[in-house]
Amino acid sequence: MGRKKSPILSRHAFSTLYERSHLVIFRYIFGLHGGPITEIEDLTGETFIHAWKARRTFQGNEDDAIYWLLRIARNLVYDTFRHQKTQKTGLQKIQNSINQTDKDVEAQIAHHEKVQVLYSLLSNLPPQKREFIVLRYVLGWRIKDIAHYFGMPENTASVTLRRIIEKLRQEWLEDKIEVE
Amino acid sequence: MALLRHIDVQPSKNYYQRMANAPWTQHARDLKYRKLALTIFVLLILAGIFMTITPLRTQAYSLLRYFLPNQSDTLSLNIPIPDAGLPYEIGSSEKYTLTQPEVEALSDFPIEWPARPENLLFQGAYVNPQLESLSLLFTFEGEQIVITQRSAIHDFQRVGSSASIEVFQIGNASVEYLQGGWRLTSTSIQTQSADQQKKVLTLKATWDPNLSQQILRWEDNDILFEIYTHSKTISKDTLIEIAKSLILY
Repeated sequence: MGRKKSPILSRHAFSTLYERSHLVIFRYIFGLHGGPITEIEDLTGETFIHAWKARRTFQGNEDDAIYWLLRIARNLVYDTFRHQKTQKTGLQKIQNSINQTDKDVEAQIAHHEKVQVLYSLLSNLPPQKREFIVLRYVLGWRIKDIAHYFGMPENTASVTLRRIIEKLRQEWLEDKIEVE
Repeated sequence: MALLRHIDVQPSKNYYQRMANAPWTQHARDLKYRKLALTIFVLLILAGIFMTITPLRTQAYSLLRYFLPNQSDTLSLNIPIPDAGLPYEIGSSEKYTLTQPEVEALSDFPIEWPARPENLLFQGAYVNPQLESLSLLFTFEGEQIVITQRSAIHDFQRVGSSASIEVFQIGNASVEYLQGGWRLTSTSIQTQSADQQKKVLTLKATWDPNLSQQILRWEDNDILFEIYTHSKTISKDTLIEIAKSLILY
């Protein structure tokens, strides 16, 4: 007999998956790539078109489908980096997307600078480490989910994340000193 | 890291406008209209058939989905040829020029490739984008087999009144198997005088249950599948084995 049927084979099932996940994928790509927005939108659309064409090959449940989409998105982002070498220059427009509730102009400038520094540090991280940060802080995933996504023990994921944060913190302080 | 938690980026209106035409939404919309048009077309044909045929065909035929028995074993038809051509025309093997990656890239839907039998060899593919159909040419022990896959607009193939059609289940798919075919006694293609672009195929044929033509048809997840061979040596079991490797369960 044939293979097990993909749960996202029908147009209806795929459409439901798209509605449920397109914002997650968009933010994930934004976190990894950084912008500009039009490129993020192109990559998001491309991710779903790839998934649509390959949906027959997908096996798993609804959560696995999100992981599968993220992997497609990640590969597309890395391909873009390889071809366009935007890795270092991306993330320049991130400051526009931060909710700024403080109306004090000076505070806004300070906030803007912090974001610039943070994203400059993030863009220097190796891809997988940056992905850790994006999953944990941009998408708000729990450590358990990140560990499952990377196929590693929860404890390993937790330690890895702590090390990345510690490294970022040190570099943050060094950068701040340089700025000052 | 708190800064990252407050990211609230949203895709623009342009993005949503663009994605409104994505295949999974567009197809559903198009399919609705196409199904409606096809339903009207089929109803008109059926009305014509019921007005001219007495007695009505046997009850067994009412269960068939992919083959439409004719009132007799002779056929005389005037068929307008669509600009896009015919969906299941087998034609010469020379037109199957596409490789596997090429046909994958051109197809709007994921293509199912047969996994069995082992010595089924892919020769080339042919795509008709207007009809959203693709045909894959294989050889098995030197004989040709064509597998056609198309986005499912439900259609049927007219067969003779004495045609023997087997219906069986593979997984969730109801598969229909036909052996035999129309032996053409005369064909001609005429151009309509009012519109020089429109061509009409005139067929005169007699149903021959012993004609070496075998067809398997079924629908699976909005894709219509057809396996065709005119080989005298390929068995029904071989075609069923191919079908089993294509059908998801």
